[in-house]
Amino acid sequence: MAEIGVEGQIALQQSSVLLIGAGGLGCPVAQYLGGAGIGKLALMDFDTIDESNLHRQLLYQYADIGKLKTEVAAERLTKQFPHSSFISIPNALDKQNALELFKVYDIIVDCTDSISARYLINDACFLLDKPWIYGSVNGFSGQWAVFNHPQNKVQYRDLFPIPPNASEMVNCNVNGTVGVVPGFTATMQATECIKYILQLSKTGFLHTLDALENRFYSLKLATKIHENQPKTQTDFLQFSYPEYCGETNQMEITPKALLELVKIQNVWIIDVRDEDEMPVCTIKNTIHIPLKLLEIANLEIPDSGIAVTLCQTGIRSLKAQKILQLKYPKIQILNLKGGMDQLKLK
Amino acid sequence: MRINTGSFLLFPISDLYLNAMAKVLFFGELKDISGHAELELTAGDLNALMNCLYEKWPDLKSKTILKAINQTVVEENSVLHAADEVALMPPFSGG
Repeated sequence: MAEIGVEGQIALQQSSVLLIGAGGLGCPVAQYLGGAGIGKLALMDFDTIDESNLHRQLLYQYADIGKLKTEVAAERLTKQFPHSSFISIPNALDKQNALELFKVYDIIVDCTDSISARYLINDACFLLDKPWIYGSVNGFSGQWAVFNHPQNKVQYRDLFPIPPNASEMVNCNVNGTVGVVPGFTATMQATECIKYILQLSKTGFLHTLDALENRFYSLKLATKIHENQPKTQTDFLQFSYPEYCGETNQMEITPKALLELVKIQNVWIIDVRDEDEMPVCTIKNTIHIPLKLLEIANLEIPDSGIAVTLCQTGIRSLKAQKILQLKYPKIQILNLKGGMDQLKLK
Repeated sequence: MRINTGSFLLFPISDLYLNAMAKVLFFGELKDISGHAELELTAGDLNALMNCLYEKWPDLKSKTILKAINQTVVEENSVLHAADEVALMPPFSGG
């Protein structure tokens, strides 16, 4: 292609990209960047492969269930594109490793599924002067943008200076997702990554594709000053992103603590996932009631003691916790942090 | 305020000068709340337009909304002109 040529292919081969997330967005981004000849691609994700991932995370197969995503992805991509180097980083992103890792790569690609991760990536890239490619999905729509480009320093905070309320966001299987949506969003992210390396970016826009309406729409962004943004690496390391985005609260319990607690006292578990979500929660005293039915439901639980709300990742159950605390003020309602994904019952 | 989802409407001459017929585009969850991908609405400025929408669909009030006029993001209240296109975009978080 005229826009690429030999020089462009060399530029792609000499570039390095870090993907945060090896799931619905990460898999297609990795595959297309591998196909474009990116020299070094690292995938960062703490998670293991689940059956519910397979319909949209097309690097993984049934036999891979239970294995680390980044290891399977790196191995499969290496077989497919042997002239590139694929690195597995099977860790969760945090502030410390963001500052260490981001500076080693030319560009970061956001393939995460949480708002707090996006603010963290945004602020780390801002401090380290690194560009990054944002991407996210909702229903039949996807959004993407190039942030912190050398020519245009628009950033994620210019879209949403104040984080949305955590209970507004749906992080898992409430409305469902179909693989084509992260598929096309990730394809556009990979496109922007390639354009960046080839110096073909047109910056300063948020792009959205609504596949139901067949509507592609771009919004022009402007840079602003953000008082709340960490100005130094020291400030950044002290900033609590989950708290800033309302993703933690005082009334939560870790999976390890829950498993210890149920050994010593009766705890009511309120599972607010849909009926078909797996795995089943086998802890004693589990009541299964989907979130959409919770407000009108009459739960047969004592009017005092402890109850724990759970869902797949701990986000829907946050909403359930708020609903139930109002309904049952004498019960201590705790949210299971990380949900069934972190509980990993044997 | 008048909402036009396609049928012809007459409006007083004074509205020509004080209010404008704008197209409003809803994205993501905002489309589900309003039940519309787009509609036409007469309003003098962005705040008045949003107040009209909040009155009709109160669930919009609690949502974080990025607003744009003619594909440029706006933060402050802005006067609306005839045939302006207002886009309302929520944050997406999935991945």
